[in-house]
Formats: sequence, structure tokens, C-alpha cells
Amino acid sequence: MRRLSLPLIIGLVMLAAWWLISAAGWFPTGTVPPPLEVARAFGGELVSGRLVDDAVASLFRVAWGFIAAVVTSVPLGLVVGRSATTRAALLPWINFFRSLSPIAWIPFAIIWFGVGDPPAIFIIFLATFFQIALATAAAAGNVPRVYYRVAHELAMTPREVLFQITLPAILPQLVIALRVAIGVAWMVVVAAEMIAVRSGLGFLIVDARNGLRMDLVVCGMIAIGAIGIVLDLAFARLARIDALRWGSES
Amino acid sequence: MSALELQNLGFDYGKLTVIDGLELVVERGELVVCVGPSGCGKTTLLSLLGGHLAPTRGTLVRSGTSRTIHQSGGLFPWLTVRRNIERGLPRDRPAGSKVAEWLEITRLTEFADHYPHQLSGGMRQRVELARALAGETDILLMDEPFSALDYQTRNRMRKELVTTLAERPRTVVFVTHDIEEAVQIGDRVVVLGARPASVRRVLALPGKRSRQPADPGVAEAEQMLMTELGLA
Repeated sequence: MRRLSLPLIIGLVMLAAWWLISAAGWFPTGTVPPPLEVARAFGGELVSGRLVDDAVASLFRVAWGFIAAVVTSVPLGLVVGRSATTRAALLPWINFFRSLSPIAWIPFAIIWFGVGDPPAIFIIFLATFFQIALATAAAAGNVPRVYYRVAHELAMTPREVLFQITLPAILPQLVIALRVAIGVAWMVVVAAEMIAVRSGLGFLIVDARNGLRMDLVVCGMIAIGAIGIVLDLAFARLARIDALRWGSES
Repeated sequence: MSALELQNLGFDYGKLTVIDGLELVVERGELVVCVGPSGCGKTTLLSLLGGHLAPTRGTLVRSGTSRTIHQSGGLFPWLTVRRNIERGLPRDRPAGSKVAEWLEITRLTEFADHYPHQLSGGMRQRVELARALAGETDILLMDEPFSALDYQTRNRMRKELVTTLAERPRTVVFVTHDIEEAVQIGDRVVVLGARPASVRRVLALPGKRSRQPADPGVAEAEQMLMTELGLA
């Protein structure tokens, strides 16, 4: 019960503070939209279906960028983690690209991919690819040697070693890395949508600002935060399935 | 033919000579315990016997396959007890009934669907034993398998090992630093010298395993090992 009631109380306190600040008239009109106005705008956006459309558009881009990153970065991370030569050759470069803010790629994304979904998906891909590759490499490099010895004695083939030893052994850490990465992806999609596309929650915010509809800007922010929580909960849940629990309990 | 024949065996880690001039023959069905000062190369010796390392010098003839039981859990933590034991079975054999049999032997039937982290240390070592024995391999290599367990569990595990081996005979090389353990379960005790390891002395023990402290010759054997290891 506390898990729900405590955050709810904090939410109400923040709402009260927000209402107080906007009602007191300390700031010029339009700089702090009143909660009631925002609620009205939120309802309107929901009824018109625009909010849902924008959320779906954003989630679609995150899903493709994220999936593309996972299916390419996990194999790369495995190779880097298990082979000393590859690690020496690639690790500095993975770190180099990981340090570049994905936002810095936006000009190139637009030049290379035009406008629409592809540049945004490309940005999501870049934002998560190097992170997941690095986390996978670290996890694969730390698999206890004893498992491979046992695998050798059990006469496992290289394929079995990959799918029955290395992958399950790194899975708990991988799920944590994916949870962090999906959060970053969600943060970045909004930034990407502010520039390259004409739909999505990021576009909603930019569009609302251009029309001086600060109430709509806050609507977009609320939707982004709420979906962020849901995504995080989904990945946190993944870490609790039985075959992964050993990673956090042993 | 003997199960293991080591002639003038040597192994170097880079410039460090860990094992040098080691001679040992282990007969089929024999339980040989290796004791020696810590860091003398006992674990390296087991790695050589298991084929995980190649000797730098000398010859090592192993007839048959081997499985190792490790001190620091070698169970796959992402698999249940049942699935761990199943992994150990020979490849060409259908799993079902054999797994049930091993669960029975090691008294783990009611924990079949537990994960290793949900078990006590003694139970985990029983699963390891079951997985290793399920393979029907000829040689069992045990690297201080009971040293992380408490005194009572350790004692019980030794007895269980001896009982299980009586039903399913294997050649065993058992590494330990516990002299009491060595004398209790071994057919012969091999005393290794400080690094580089070589055989300092081989002691054949009287009677059958497992021995009680009051059995004839046990106290003398312990005394002799203590002296040999410089502990008395």
C-alpha cells in the first residue's frame, strides 16, 4: 500500500505547490499554466485522439531503434567480451562513440535519412547501441570460468556454450542494461522529434510552444513522464522472472 | 590399465614452475586424496588431470573421461536442480527416469524445481555430485568440494560420497587440505611438497573407507601426515 500511497501524497503536494504558484500571480501570465487549464487541455487532446497518436508515433520509433540496437549490439558485445583481441581493438572506439551525445548526430541523421521516421529511429539506435554493447561486453567478460570448464567436461558444442552458458549467464546484467537503455531511448526520441518529424510527443511540445500553448507543453511532458514510468516498470518486471532472479539474489 | 598415469609431470605458469617431476599412478576404482600446503599446485594438478591445461613437461595418460566437482559452485544458477542434473547425463540417453533416480540417490527429489541459490551449501554440493556422477564418466576430480561447508555437513557429505561410490564405483582424485578428511575417505593419501609440487610421500591407508577416528591405524596415519606437512 505504501508503494502507491507515498508517491501519491508527493504528487498531491507538487500539484498543490504548482497551483499555488500559478494562482499567486508571481510570474507573468502564460509562463506558468494553471493545473486546471492543463487538465482541460489534456482531456481535449485525449478526446481528439491526438495525444494517443503522438504517443504511439513516439513508441513506434523507440521500439524500432531499440530493437535494431539490441539485435546488433548484443552479438558485438559478446564478441568483444569473450575475445581479448577484439576487446583491445574495439573497446576504446565503443567508448568514444558512447560519449557522443546522440543529439549531436541529428544534423547528419537528417542529411542521410531525410525527414520522417528514419532519422528519429537512427538517433534512438545510436543512443542505445554503444551502451548495450558495452554492458554486454562487460557482462560476457565476467562470466565465471568454472562454467566453461563444466561445459567442456559436458562436451558442449560452441553453439551450446553460447546459447546455454554465455547468454543465460549474462542475462540478469543484460536486462538491467536494457532497462537503462530504454530510459535513454525514450528521453532521446523526444529530443529527436523536436527537430526531424511532424508527429510524436516531442513534436507535440515544439508545436505547442510555437503556438504559445504552454498548457499543451505540460500535457506532453506529463505523457512522456508517465510512459517513461510504464516502460521502466515493464523492464523491472522482466528482471524478476525465475530464471533471472539468481542474478540479484545470489 | 590404470585410470591415470603421470610420469615426470611438470607445469609452468610463465616463468613460475608450479609442478615438477610428479609421478603418480591411480588405479581404477581407487580414491586417492592429495594433500599439501596451500598454493602448492593442487588445483593446477586437477586442471591437468581434467584436461583443462596441457602439461609443460612429462606425460599424462588418462583412460576415460573425467568430471570435476569444484569448491566454488560450478552449478548453472539459471537452471533448476532437475535441469542441472539433466545436463550431466550422457548425450544419447533419454533424460526422464535417470534424473529421477539421481534425485532419489542424492535425496533432492523435493527440491528438483528449486534453483541453486535457493539451496543450502550442502545441498548444492549434492547436486554437483549428482550431475558429475550422472555422466557415467570414469574419473571424478574433486577440488576441496566440502571445504566451504560447516563441520557437520562436511562430515555427512563425506559419508554420502563413500556410500554413493560404493553403489557406483568411480576413480576419484580428491584434493583437500583437511587431514582428517583425507584419512577418513582415502584409499591412499598423496602428500605433495611445497611449490613446485611433486610427490613427497604416498601413504596407503589400512581398512576400508569411510574410517572412524577410533579405527586402527587412523590416529597413526593422521600423525604421520601432520609430521610430513610440518604441522606437528
